[in-house]
Amino acid sequence: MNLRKGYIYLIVIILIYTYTASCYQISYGAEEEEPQKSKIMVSLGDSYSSGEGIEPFFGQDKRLSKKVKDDDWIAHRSTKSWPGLLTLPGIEGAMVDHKDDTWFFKAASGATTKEIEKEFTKIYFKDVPHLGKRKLDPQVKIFEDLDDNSVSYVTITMGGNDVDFSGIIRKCMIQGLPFTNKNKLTDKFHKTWEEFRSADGTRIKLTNVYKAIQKAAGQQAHIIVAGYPQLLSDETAESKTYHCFNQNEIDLVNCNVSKFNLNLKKIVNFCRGEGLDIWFVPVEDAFEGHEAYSPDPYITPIIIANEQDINKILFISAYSMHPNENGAIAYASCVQKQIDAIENGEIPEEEDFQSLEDILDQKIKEIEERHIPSLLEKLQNMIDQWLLTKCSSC
Amino acid sequence: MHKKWHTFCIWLLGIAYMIQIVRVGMYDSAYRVLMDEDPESIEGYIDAEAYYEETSDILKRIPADESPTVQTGREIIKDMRKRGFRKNPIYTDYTLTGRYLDEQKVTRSSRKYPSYQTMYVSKANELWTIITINGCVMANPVLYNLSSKLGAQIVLAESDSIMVYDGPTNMFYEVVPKTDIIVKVVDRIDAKTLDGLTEDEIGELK
Repeated sequence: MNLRKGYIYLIVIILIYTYTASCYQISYGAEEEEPQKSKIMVSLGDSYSSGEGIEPFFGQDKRLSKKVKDDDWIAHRSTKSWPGLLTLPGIEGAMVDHKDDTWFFKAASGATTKEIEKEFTKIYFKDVPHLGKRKLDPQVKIFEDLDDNSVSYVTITMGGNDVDFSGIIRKCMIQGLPFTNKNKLTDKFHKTWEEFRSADGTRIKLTNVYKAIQKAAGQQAHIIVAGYPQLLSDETAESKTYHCFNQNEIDLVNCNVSKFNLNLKKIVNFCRGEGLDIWFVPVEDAFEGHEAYSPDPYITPIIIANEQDINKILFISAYSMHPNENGAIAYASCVQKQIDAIENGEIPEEEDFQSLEDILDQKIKEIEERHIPSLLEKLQNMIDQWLLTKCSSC
Repeated sequence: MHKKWHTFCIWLLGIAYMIQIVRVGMYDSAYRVLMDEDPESIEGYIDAEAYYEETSDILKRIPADESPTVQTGREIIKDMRKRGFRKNPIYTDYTLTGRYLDEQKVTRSSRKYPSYQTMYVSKANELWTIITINGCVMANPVLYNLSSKLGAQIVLAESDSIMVYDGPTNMFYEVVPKTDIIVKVVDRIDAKTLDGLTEDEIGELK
């Protein structure tokens, strides 16, 4: 009898064990098969990221009284911006199809390094009574609203408004006649670089911004910093519709943009050395031959303010000197390559920055030397004339 | 035992300190590379004398700090008001010694600047930049120039010759432009004159 009881107990124990084990296996298996969480991308930055000048903007179709209260419209976030064209594995379609789901678009036209961590007050002036200001949240605030360590990619263009090369061109065209002061542009660039290098200049601000983004997004996030394109074509000087700058001034603008890109690359490299997961993507090559005023431009030329401009009082459209729809596609293709490389575990080879810089220096020297002979010749002529007078008097 | 523990702690602190020194040193040197290795700022100054000789007839060369016709802040504000350019602020870019300032608003002071500029929107909705260099007033029709197919900017002046300024040499040049810019002469640059000009009329000026 006792033996039978023992068998029964044994069978019950085996049954309980088998049931529990199978349940555990089921639940464990279920855990394994749980679908992977979607990757999240956050797009921060300035007008080059927001897609300034590429209509339609998010919120554009609303009534004027409503769209001035729409952060997306006030920031001029385009439905065709390059970050929206990017794709990520496991996410169907482009990021623009997943706005506020797996893609968070916080870039704002006009933003400087300051506005990444601080509120951005945008002033709008359409017409009376539609004039005023609207505060946009600090761009990094988006990370507070997302789950910790959930962001896979952060894309950004930043620093362009701090150095404001496109603004320099716009101002040169509006506020003055380059003919009446041929060296004003050079002086302006000198001032810009002086500020860039200063103790609290753009260079330091950019370094701090990248660090703040990595800290807010989490160490798992890959930060992709896109560079800026050259703005003016070599053919611009020949263009009948654009006659402010000569070839030398066009070279000066383009060289300064290249120099800025090199500096961006250096800052990104420095930050990577500091442990940030940050990558620089150059775009100059993709825009080569497609600058403003070229036959097939990817950059919008200087145009007059239009219906969708936030600030009509400025007369000249903010669209001016920004990538157009084709420019956005070119940008997206450059950045996509970097994302694909990261996804495939391919780390791009480091370039020799010093040699690149040497090349740039050489180019700058060439521009300078175009003018030196005339100065030297003048000096030589003066000496010759003086010698001649001396000799004739002798 | 106690002494051994004490020695161990001192060693540990020493090693941590050394690691920190090396780390900070590496950070500093890396940062210094970032900060100091930049090429010097782009010079690229244009030889203004050569440029104006090529594009214009140079009538006069006047060192800016010796010119008697340079206006003070107070004088330029008064002059612009007289001409009807009251709404917008006046800006300058250079000191009288040729130092670049990067756009500063002009106040009613006795300080002199080599050049001034302000904006004006005419009744015909043309945007004008009014530039004054060494007392010579010029008007740039911005929107007209943006859409023009003339191949050179148009500028309105009160005579055939205009004044230009070069910061690096701090020199005024009185020039009669031959290329690169088209000078249209009007009796007086003021709001009344600019208000009376339509886009077509700007092009027809002689």
